[in-house]
Amino acid sequence: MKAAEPVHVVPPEEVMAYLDGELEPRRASAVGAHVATCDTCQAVADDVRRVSQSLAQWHVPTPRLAAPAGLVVKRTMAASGVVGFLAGHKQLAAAAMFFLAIGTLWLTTRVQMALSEAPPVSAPPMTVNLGGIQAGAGIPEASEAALNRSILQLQGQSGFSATTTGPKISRTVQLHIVATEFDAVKPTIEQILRDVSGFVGHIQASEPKVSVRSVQATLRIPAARLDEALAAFRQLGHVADEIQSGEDVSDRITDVAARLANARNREKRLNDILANRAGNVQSVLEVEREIARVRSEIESLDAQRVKLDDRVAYATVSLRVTEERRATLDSGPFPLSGRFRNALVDGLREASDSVIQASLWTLRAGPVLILWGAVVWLVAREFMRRFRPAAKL
Amino acid sequence: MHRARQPADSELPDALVTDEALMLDVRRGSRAAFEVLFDRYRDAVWRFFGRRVDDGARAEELVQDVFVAILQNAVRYEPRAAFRSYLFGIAFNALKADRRKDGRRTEPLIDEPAATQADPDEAIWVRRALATLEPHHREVLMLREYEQLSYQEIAELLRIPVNTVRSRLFRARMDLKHALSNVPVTGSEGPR
Repeated sequence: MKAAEPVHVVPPEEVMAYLDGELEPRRASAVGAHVATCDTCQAVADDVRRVSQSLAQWHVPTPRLAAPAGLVVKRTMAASGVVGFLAGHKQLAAAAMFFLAIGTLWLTTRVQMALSEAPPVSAPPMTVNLGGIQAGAGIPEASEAALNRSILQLQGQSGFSATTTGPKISRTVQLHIVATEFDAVKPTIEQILRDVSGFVGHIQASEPKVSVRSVQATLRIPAARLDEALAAFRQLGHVADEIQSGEDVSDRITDVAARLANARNREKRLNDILANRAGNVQSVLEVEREIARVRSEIESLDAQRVKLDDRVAYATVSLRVTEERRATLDSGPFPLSGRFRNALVDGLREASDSVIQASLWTLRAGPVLILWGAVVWLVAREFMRRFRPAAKL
Repeated sequence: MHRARQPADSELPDALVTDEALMLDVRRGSRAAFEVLFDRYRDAVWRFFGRRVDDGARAEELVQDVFVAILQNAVRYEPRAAFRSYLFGIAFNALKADRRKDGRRTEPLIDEPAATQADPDEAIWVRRALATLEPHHREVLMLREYEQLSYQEIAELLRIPVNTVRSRLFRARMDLKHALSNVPVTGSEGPR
């Protein structure tokens, strides 16, 4: 304690409240002045600060929780309460079902009596489905796409090149062509890609000796020139199979754009907080962490946006070209001389193997055979010796 | 087409619209306003449950329950207090109901909360030190430090006088300081 320390009139709890910003301005300035000159109160303040800093070490990572459009209510409040309880208590559930049946019967009778006496009325809409959420009364019904588009119109800063007008279709085509002049296929494909400003995603050529040659390629063609490219591909031969499909990704684009706009808004808001609001170090660090997280989210959404944009701008063509099969006399994939040589080597190897195996068997079984052979021979000799004199007599 | 925002508010960017104004929009039926509120608070609500519930899936369910409850009760919302305290009031009630529902579940389970991956050592000691506090003290401390609620908001949420909040908070901080100063340097099992 300092020698010149003033009379200690501030309880430690008030020092804490001062640090928490919970005192009236006048009292806060008085306590602040006191803390500045009092070692005891400064120690209390240091303790409070240290505890706050320690607690800030427990950072909870936040998962990417779905936006409300994707929020799925796995269980309703009612289900988690009454129904969930009854599920765990089967006897109570049975009793509840009994009373429910009686109650329903009674209620039905009452309602029928009331309906027979009252004029018909139309019930107002009480609930609507809001992306899986049973929203309360007062939420007007609207499609997900329309709602998401309204977000864009309100915020007007999605930065998304694919705007909200018109459907956004991601087109994919699977094409199987049987070509007569296979040697010209690859150069023709390359020429078509140059003509339509497309590019190869993946290409694989196979030239087996025993079956037909083929080329498989995944090609990305500008959506606007897809028909032109398909017409050119069909000239490679005759079309064996063709499947075209289009996926409407408008909703996904709108959703990503809305989330991107929200994330940018959040980042701006956090930057404003960081720039304009005073706070302790812990708060500043918390805001900076949040900014870093939001920035990461923005980059992820931006990547999704680019990918979706790319899917709409470029159609995907899975092209398979096979050679028309022509039967030929062929001795096979290997030369005949080699096959004879291999057969001879294989025969010699099998012969030597059989000699080795026989030798091994003889060595392994020889002692046993000799032993039992001797036993049989001795028994037979004794038998013959006894039997032979009798025969002579 | 459904108007997502009242004309007066539609001129303002979302960042400048207060929570209470957005909640009034939700009451009037604005899905867009609800989405803005969801974006603002989903992480905070997740962290609330993430520190108090031992199962990540259950924490996510509770987060959903909170926002569903906000939607279901939007028609009765009156901006008497800050939306933030209204929100955490619902979250706190959801947590209490969840604990009541299944008596086998231990109380906060501070030592094995839902979100523990990649905890640095300091965070583990903080959690273990928190587990040593009296439950009432700990709740006040966590509401103050993590949810950043004011003394008044905590008092309303827990239905206790403000002075009690202050004394419990001070006691909790001093106990925590003591618990943190007693932690061993190398890892042994912390208090459960």
